[in-house]
Amino acid sequence: MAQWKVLLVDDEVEFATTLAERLTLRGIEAVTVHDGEAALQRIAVDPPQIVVLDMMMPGLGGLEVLRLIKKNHPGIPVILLTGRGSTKEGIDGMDLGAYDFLMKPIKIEALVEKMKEAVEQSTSVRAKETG
Amino acid sequence: MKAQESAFLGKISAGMTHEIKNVLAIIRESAGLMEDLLSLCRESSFPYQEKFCTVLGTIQGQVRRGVELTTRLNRFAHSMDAPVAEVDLSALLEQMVSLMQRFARLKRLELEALPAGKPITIRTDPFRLQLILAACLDHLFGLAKEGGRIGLRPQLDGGNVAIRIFGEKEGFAGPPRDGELPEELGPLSEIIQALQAELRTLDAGGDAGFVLLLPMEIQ
Repeated sequence: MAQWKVLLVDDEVEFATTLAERLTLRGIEAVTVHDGEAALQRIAVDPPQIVVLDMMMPGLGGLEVLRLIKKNHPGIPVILLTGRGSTKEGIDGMDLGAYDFLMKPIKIEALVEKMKEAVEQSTSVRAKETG
Repeated sequence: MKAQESAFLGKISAGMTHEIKNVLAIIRESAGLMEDLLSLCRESSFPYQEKFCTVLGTIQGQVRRGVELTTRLNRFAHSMDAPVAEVDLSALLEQMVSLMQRFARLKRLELEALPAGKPITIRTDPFRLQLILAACLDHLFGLAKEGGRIGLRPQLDGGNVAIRIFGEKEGFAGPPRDGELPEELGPLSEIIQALQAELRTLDAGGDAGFVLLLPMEIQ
């Protein structure tokens, strides 16, 4: 039984689907979409507990998608994936409200750990808010 | 190289290295998924299980190597993004060592970045700075005896910064002569000027090589 749901947003279809399979094997329900517009639509109808978002995508870029998620669904944590050699892009994303960022290719254990932390934190914030 | 040309080269290289990283990410996840599936049937009598695990380990190891190389190349490509940028000298020298390591290895030399006493950040043209350092290293590689060691060390020098590119004098077949820049480095003079830098030969304390003096900030 899945613990919670993650939305994986990456235009590299094979990367996203393979990662989703690996997460599923670890008890995490993973849904994939392959561009920013599809991600926003999906979140609107079926909000996940967390979003893992690639920064470099055609159409709406990762930072723009992040900005819109944070505007419309501030409680959903977002972890960014960056393929650049430097950390600057990821830090820019954290300034916009991302929970954290990971460099591609990722280590699955590191991603799972980071997702758990982020979901736990957002759950506890929500619990405090609702009293 | 003109700014427009280097920016073009940088943009294309950065884009391609990003794509290569995506390829490596897919290979890593695919190999990872195979490992996950194999671990699910650990108790089965699948005859080549151990061999599969070894081969998958090799794939993961080579992916890590490929990621390290493309990350370095990606950083190098992004060093052409802007004509002047903040440069952490220790990070840049580590990067140089990584980029030039293969050439050192072909000459059977050891190349290392030595730490500065404290972090030094300057504002300069990172691409041109790497170009000068690579030319100096290349020159020293040509003079060094097999098995020698060449180092790069940044240090504060009054209001400026000095980068020593050096090895033990005894490790060179014919070290650069004191005060006389080699002819093959002549074409660098325009670039050195653009960085408001000065390149000198070094012959002191048993070491030989070059010292590149740079301002803390290009005016």
